[in-house]
Amino acid sequence: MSRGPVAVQVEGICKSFGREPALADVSLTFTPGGFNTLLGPSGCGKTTLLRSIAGFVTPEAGRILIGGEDVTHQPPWTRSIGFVFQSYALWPHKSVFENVAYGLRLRKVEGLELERRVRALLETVGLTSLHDRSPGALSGGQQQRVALARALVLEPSVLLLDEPLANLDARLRVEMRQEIRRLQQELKITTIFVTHDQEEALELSDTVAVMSRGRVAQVGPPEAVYERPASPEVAALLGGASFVEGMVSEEGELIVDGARLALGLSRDLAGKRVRVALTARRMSVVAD
Amino acid sequence: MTATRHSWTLALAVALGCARNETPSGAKASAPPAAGLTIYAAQGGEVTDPVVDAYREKNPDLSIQIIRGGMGEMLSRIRAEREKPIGDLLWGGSPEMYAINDELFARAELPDAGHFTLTDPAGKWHPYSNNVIYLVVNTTRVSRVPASYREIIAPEFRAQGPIAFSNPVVSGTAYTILTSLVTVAGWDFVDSMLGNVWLTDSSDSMFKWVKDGETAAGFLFEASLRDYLSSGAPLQPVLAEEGLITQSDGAGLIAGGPHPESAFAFLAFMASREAHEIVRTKVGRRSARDDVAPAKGLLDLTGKKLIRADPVWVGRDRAKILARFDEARERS
Amino acid sequence: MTLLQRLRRDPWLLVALFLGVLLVVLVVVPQLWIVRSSLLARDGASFTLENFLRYLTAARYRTALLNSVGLAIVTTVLAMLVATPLAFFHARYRLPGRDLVLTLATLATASPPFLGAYAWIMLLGYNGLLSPALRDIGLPWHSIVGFHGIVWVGVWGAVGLVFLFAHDAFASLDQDLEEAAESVGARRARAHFDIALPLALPGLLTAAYLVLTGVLADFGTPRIIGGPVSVLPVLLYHEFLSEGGVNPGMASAGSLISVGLATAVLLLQRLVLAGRSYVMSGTRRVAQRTLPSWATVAVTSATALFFLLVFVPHLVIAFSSFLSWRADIPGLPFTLDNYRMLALRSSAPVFVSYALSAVSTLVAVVLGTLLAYVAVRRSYRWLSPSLQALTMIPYLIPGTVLAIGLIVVFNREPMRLTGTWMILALAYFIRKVPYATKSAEASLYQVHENLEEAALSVGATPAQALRDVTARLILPGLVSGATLTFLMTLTELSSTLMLYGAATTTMSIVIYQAAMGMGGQFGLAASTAVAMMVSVYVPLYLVRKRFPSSGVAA
Repeated sequence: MSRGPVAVQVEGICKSFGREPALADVSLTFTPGGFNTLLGPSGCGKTTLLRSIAGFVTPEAGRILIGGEDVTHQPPWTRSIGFVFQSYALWPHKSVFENVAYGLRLRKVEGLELERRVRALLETVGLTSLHDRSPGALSGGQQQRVALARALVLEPSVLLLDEPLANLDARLRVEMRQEIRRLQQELKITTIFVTHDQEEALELSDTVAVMSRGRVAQVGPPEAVYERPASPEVAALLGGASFVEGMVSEEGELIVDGARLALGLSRDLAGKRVRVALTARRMSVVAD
Repeated sequence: MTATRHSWTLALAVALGCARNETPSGAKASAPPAAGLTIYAAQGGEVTDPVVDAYREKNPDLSIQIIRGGMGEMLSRIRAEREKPIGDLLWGGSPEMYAINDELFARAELPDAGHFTLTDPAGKWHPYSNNVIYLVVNTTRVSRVPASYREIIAPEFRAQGPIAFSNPVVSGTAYTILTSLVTVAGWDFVDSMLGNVWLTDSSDSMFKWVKDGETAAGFLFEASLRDYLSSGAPLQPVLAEEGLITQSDGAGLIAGGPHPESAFAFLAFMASREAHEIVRTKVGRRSARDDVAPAKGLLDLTGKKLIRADPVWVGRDRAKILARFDEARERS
Repeated sequence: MTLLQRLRRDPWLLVALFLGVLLVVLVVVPQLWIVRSSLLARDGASFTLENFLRYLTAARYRTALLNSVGLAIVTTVLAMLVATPLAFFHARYRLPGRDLVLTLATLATASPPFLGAYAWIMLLGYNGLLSPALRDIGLPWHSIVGFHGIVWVGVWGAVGLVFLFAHDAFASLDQDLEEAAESVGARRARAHFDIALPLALPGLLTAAYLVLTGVLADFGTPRIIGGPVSVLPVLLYHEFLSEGGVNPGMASAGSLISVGLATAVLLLQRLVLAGRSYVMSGTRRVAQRTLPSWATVAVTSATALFFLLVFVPHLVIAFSSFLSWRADIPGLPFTLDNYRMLALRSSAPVFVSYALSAVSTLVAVVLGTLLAYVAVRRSYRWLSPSLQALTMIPYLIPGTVLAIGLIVVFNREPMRLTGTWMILALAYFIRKVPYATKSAEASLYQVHENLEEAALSVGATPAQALRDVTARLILPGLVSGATLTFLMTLTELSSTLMLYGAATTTMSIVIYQAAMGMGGQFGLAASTAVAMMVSVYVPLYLVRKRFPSSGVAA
């Protein structure tokens, strides 16, 4: 990345479809270079906000600023964005390579330069060997990686992801979200991630914006949102999580106030002091 | 003769004058060629082709286009195209049709006008053939051939099936039949007949129904009857004691057509002895000329009783006659 | 946002506006003359509703109107009753020859419509091939000519379409729903009736609507086989073309009544479907069950009989094309003369039909795709519903009426098209825009909007996205839609009858003139009809092979 992380802001965004407002006076400042999550139940407006930032939706009021520039009325093809869809939206008539290369071709990048850049991205997402496959022949996880590569190859100012993990099975979901986090940190690209899954929000985010019914209910780092919900509504939305701090043992246990919690933490963390978020469904009460 | 030649010259001058007034617009792929002739034919090929072919032989450089359709269709086209006609002449139809649509046609005085049994005082309709229209019965439906029109309204006949009849409001042929029947048998007859009629807007359907036996009786042109009989159709004409119905058909010059000269020349040929010999030998119809014998297979009409409806009544009271017909129809 | 900004943002708005203007000029303006003339009194000077009222008061008009409505209802009900159960069995149960059945049904929908009437009279007219024999063996058979004949031909002409729609509807049902019914105690048949039938309603009602409006506008069948039964389209034709003078007032009023009837049926269909929800959780195609063998035999036999009756006309005409004809009476010996005549004298109509259909189809498909895109991907507040209505209008206007409107408008300088191929191509293309649009819509629905948005997100302009993504993906659907449109224009009759010229005589005109005995030749008509059938069926068959999942039911 030749330039630094880009600031993204929205101010006073309003949008309705029909009678119900989807977004009512939403203002947010996203952490530049950070992993920003929009969290909320379906219908809260998070996807609408994301699509507004991308330019697929035009707000009725308010401003969208990318890198300080007012892009509110600019069409999506002029904004410097990368978008990953929930359905991946890979073009079935193009190969993996061509899916990634398309944006470059539009910009008249050709030949060796094109190859180099496409292959570099495919390598970053770990798909080099599949470059000439067609999307239909790929697994969900692989399709997702292609979608990511496509979004990133043009070195956009902002990476937008619309519930990209929703269609994956549980195991893959965990794996992929770590991948995404890793990529994001490596590339230091301002990222806005939409999800309804608290686990994802907690694990991945630098900043979480909790949304409900078209408004921002609370914004802050994950612990702040979980431990100090600003309203009963936020607390209800998140369903409660406990944070515990302690040391990680050799066997992957967390030692808290003398108690040993067998949490199956990664051995790499042994000896480190960590803070763990415990969500309700992970716990069950067992007689000793 | 001098007068005729004068009027011929006059007609030609008028025709030429029309041509000069006309300003064809820029070349369009579809416009008729400069030396050409477009005929709107409300007649089948068997009627027009022999004469047209003969004319083509005499005028090999002339490009003749024929567009076919029903009489109503052709009149509609001519009417719709009035501002800039495409057709040069209309072939088909009885004199009333031309009188009703008077403004669509141009007057022409043909050299052979004197040879025709029936002429149009307005000079817009030029006779071609005279046709007997027979009441015809289908022998698969009917056991005994009637000897008069009146017999077909009797209960014994009605039991055998309906009578096919076309609508005089839309069909010139039917109008002729109607006026003839009213002349010899009165409106009472028509009222009664309508109680057992299959009415159609298309004369062609009327012909087909009686030929196919869908109806017991119908009306048919003599030439068609002859042709159907030779193919073995189970039909018999009624040589009605009240008299035979006749209709003349002819042709006319379309007003403002693109090639009035060619059209006039063709009309003149159509009226000539030569053409009418072709009518007798190749077309197989009864020529309208008084000096040409009827075609083979057609009844020799000498001594036969022919119905002559009062032409003034037929023309002037048309609306009244049709209204009366409609009324009779409502009641049936 | 200023208009300019809006246009830059969404170039499709400009396209939509252009399409709207085009449709208004081509579809609405010619028909305005008809509206105007329907309100004129006979003196041509004052305005009146008398023309409309006479359709209720005068027997000539009232009879035609009532007959048309009656025929439409009876034919539709019977066609639905005959085809729906059969389609149901084929969709839900494993039966032999499924592919053949679907192919035959598809061929049936593309049949030249008036051939049926022509052939059934040959067989079952009073003196038809079979009638005397039937009477000889003592059956009280009279003739197929009449109201019942129109219904008979209409039903067998429509069942192919109903079959396809019903089959599609039943095959897409979520099986879980019926299984849920069975799990609460409903027996299989009951589950079919209470669950499957109502859920298939949209597809079935669409088929019913198409059949109903088709019968209302059918010109050829009643003309040929109707006998004394007068119907609205034929009445209108004669009113406009009456020898005894032009009476456009009544004909115009009748035209508007026709359009009104079709619109009423459409609204009724929308009303019935509006209050219900047809969202289903899964889109899994239903797995087929097996029937007991006696039932399989019964259904298969019924299917064979079904298609036999559908294709009898085609077989009869093909057979008669090899007979010697003398003045519209067929006889032995067998001969190839009719085909020789076709090759020598009638090759022009064949070429004309193909050329006209090709040109008009191309234009219809292009326009239809643009209209479909606006309909599926954009919903402008005023423009979208207007465009949708404008697109549907040509479907509601009988062919004869459309033609007359065009003649009146395009008969003056500077747009003088009457008598040319262009006015015919125009009429065809206008009539087929609704079909082309619906077909393109169906294809577009299958291309998720995300795919276009993804292109936009990597920097493609809408035009580029259309070219590189959407167009490529809808191409197969467009091709099969275009083929069907082409075939439908190939067999068009009612507009052609009003607009053709010597140089633009089509195959359907040749056949029609012979069937009506207007001095045409029956043998030639039969061979031309066979040529038309081959022209229609071969491409259709190929398209079905190549794109088996293409929705005829689009």
